[in-house]
Amino acid sequence: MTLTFYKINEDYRVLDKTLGTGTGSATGHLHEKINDIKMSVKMPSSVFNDVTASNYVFVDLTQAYYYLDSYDVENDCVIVNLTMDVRKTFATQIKGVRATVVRNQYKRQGYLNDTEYKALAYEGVQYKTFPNALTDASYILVTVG
Amino acid sequence: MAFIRGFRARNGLLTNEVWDFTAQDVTSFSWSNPPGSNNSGVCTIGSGYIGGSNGGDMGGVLFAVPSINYSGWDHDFLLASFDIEGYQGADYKRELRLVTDGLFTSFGPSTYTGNVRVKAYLRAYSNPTTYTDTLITASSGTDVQFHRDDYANVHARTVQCLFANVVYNNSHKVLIGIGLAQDQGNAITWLEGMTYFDYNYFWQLLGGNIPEEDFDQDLGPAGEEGGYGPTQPGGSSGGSGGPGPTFDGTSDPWVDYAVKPGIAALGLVNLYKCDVGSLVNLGAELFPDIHWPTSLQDVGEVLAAVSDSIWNSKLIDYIVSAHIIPVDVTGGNLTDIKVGTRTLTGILARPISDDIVEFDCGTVHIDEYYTNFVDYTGTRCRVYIPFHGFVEIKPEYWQSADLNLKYRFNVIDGSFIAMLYSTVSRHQKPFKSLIGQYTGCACVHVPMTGSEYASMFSGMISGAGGLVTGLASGHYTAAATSALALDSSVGGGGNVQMSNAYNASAGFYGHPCPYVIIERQVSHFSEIYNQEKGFPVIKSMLIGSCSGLTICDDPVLNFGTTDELAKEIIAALKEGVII
Repeated sequence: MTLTFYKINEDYRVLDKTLGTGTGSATGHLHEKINDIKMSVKMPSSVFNDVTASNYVFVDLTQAYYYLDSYDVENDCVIVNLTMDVRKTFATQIKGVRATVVRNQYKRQGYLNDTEYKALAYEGVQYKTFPNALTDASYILVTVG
Repeated sequence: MAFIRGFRARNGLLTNEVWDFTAQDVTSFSWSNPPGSNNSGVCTIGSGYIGGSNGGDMGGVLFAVPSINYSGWDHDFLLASFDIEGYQGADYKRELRLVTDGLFTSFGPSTYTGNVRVKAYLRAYSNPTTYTDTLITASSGTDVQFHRDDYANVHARTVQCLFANVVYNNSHKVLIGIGLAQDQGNAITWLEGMTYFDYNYFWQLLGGNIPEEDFDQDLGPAGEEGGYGPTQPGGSSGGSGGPGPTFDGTSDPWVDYAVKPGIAALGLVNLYKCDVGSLVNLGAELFPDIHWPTSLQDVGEVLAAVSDSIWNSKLIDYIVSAHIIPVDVTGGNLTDIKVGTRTLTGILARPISDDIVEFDCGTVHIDEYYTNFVDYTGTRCRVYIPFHGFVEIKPEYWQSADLNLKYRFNVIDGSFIAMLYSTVSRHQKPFKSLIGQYTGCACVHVPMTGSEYASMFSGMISGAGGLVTGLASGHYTAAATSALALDSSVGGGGNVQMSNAYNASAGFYGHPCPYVIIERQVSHFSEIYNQEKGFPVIKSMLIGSCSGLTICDDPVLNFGTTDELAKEIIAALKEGVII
């Protein structure tokens, strides 16, 4: 399998991460598959500099993008431990998913309670007065007869 | 704190370079470095840095406009005020530009649509207190330049602008900026420092309001019992609740009913509006001075006075009440007061024909402050009702509503009912309704009436009689004893029982004006709250139709993958993705 190394600085939650030109590429083989998400790949030590200069990898065999979590050097090999970035890998498919959007950066329904809302300890107080006050007075005498 | 975010543009293209200003920042402007002949100076607005040594000395600040349709030039607001007093050297001048380039829906100066017009005023001060305004208008794609061609007579300049003929919505972005340049010979283009703003982001700045979106209108109410939609009476905006019952949220029109005829209409009681003089005269008539007898002749006068008082004591029984109420009562023409079977000639008062008097305290209008949920879940309103106290009312009745307070006083006993009306039109179909009635008594009783005057006078008679007998028989001891009895009856505290006692309503000494106290939470959040947290939405939609931070619930994957990956994707969507 061929690994293409990238250095990314974007938020890990970004779906379409900007990869740039890449810091290098190398051929390796599967060292260990932990699960569908995590695996490690063994490569020749000649790519060590590429590995240390990167934090993101595209693997052509799986057609998936991975975070380069860590690496180990064994003899003449570099073993990189990868975790799949499902956001980038499945970006196109995810965009086609219909779901209940509960929070969004731009859309809003302002009258829904926001559990993240924070307020200061003190309150703002406003005073508004009715225009007419009971400032008059009348002396009243009530008699019968 | 209001803030403004700018995005630096270079060579006509927006960059990701962001800078924020606080409101305080925007109000001040200064050149941080003296301008140089090669345009290498930088300028700042407050602590925010604008422009740059490479791009020239242009900077900009951006301002949002409310989401309403400006159909004419009747909405304007202060865009900016810059004091560009002074200059650096005779070779340079500073230039203030107001630039607009239309409405556009994506960054980039080539995608303008719509027609944003800017009206700008050049305010030129000939001295610190005298100025003239010159109106300049510009259409999309043009700019207004305030060249400072002369260094004299212009002290400071203020720019105002407005936007016309545009219905703004959340997808729009408006390019409007203040460009500042220096060095006449190297005036740079406005593209090199222009700023843009995201409509959603800045719209709050002018009023703190966030536009409400109507979601899922396409779902609509389906008239199914037990459903969740529509979410509001009248169905103005449904959530994603799906089918729900349709019901008519229209309120019935409010009808004011006339007050039923009161006791005064029966003619059995006499209601008078008195002045102080007439009450004093009445008191003198009812309570004539009785001198201490010093001789038999005096005893006769005393007995005559006592005789009058006996007569008047019966009149007192016909006085139901004498009191003060805190409202101006309209009376008729002055007439003699009638008490029981006697008309007290010369003691004048104005007869009152209606025992119910209304007093309208007027209306208070309260607008929503945040125009979001905080106005309802974190805001309280207390209404002070004179003679009653404070009452709290639900936000639904006072937010964006007119509150009207009316009193109805019962003139006969000073009792009242205060009626609080609300006229609401936001979030529901307009209605007016009585939302609260509060009762109390607002009168101060004048201690003029008494049910036990009879006993007081019986004591007087008894004492006076004994005095007469004693004096006539030479038994001065007996006379003295009787005199003591009289003294006790008249001056020493006859058992005068005042009707209702001296029941002064404490409200008379309180604040006489009704008012409203609104207690609001003070929002405190990150300046990039929407990026960090997002706003609540609750809308079923394609994730691809969103932008920015998007947090989903219950996504249904419509593509094949392993269970493990599916769980990871769903977890990612619940945690949030940035699109």
